[in-house]
Amino acid sequence: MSDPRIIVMECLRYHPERDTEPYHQRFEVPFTPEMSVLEGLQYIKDHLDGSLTFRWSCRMAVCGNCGCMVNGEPVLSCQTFLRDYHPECVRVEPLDHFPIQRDLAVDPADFLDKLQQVAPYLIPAQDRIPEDGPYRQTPEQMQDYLDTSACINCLLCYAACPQYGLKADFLGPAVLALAHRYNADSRDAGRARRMEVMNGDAGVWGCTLVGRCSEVCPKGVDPAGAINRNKPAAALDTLRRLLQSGRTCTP
Amino acid sequence: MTALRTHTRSMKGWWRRHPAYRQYLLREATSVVIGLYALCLLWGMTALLLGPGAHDVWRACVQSLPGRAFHLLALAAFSWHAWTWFRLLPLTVAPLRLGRYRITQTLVHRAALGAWALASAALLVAAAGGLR
Ligand code: SF4
Ligand code: FES
Repeated sequence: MSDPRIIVMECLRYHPERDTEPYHQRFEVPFTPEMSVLEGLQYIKDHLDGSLTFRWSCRMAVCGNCGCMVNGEPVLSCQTFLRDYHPECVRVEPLDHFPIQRDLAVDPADFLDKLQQVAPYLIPAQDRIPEDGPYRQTPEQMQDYLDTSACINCLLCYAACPQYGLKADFLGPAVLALAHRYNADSRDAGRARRMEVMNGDAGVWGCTLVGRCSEVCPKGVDPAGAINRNKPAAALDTLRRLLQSGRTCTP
Repeated sequence: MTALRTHTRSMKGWWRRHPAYRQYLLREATSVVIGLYALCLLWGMTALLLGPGAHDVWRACVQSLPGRAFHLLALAAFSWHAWTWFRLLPLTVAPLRLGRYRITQTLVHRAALGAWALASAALLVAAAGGLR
């Protein structure tokens, strides 16, 4: 095999105890055609600078940990290949719109808080015990939510959504897509509870259909679709509440 | 536990970061031109109510050079808005089924474009009939 070629990887660096501002640092990385950006980062950590910080786990686009901006695009670094950038330099930065904790690692706390708000789990109409047997669902019913259930919480859609960057309280693409995933599940009865959050100030109306979230999603979740298909339901919910408040208010 | 110090990046100039953001802003901006065009039509209809004098003034204005330029701009704005909006339309429609078949997003997109072309053609034919 021929000698590995060299690619310049420019990484954003930020160590809170040392730096007041982030800055870029260049590394020359030998690479072979099958090396991913993640493997490039691992080479830097193992051979050039052990203090470079980044997250990863599965190396196979499953865990959702390794998301970062590569030349301005939010991607999973484990399924993005250095060969596609050579001979240009590849610039690796933390996911946009999230606070930087250290180098390429962002703080996902805001996403996790918001995820809890939409109760991303089955809320059955009646409590069940194992003796009740398994839930039954037809393949057609499963199709209604299957796409959205593929979300791996990688946050690429958040890095692609300018509304999330501009409006700190917006629940954002994946949280709303996951709320839709459970609403669309025939075994679930939690729609009314989730609607309070989805139709609130930070809910579906915060989306202005930029549409980038669906383009960058590595799992084909289509969060923009999930959000916008909930707008008619949210509008009906507002109407219902208006009618109810009209009925209950005294002259 | 003390909270970790983090660095928050600014959103200044966010639209410069990706062509898709600029296309989105352009789509939103075309709404302003479309709104102005609606006002122009409203003015024409009011002029029609007010009488021949007012209507002639309105016609002279829309047939002037700036009036024609505005109409060309409005046509471009409408076309861009319709094109980009219809591309996103499937995202706003719940998955549709015809019996056992799912209607794909591509089909929704194409149907919308077809309806747009038909409506525009019908309008052109009607306008040509009115001019004769
Ligand atoms: S919706 Fe897609 S991009 Fe967003 S977190 Fe889930 S898998 Fe990642
Ligand atoms: S390392 Fe798990 S998704 Fe990339």
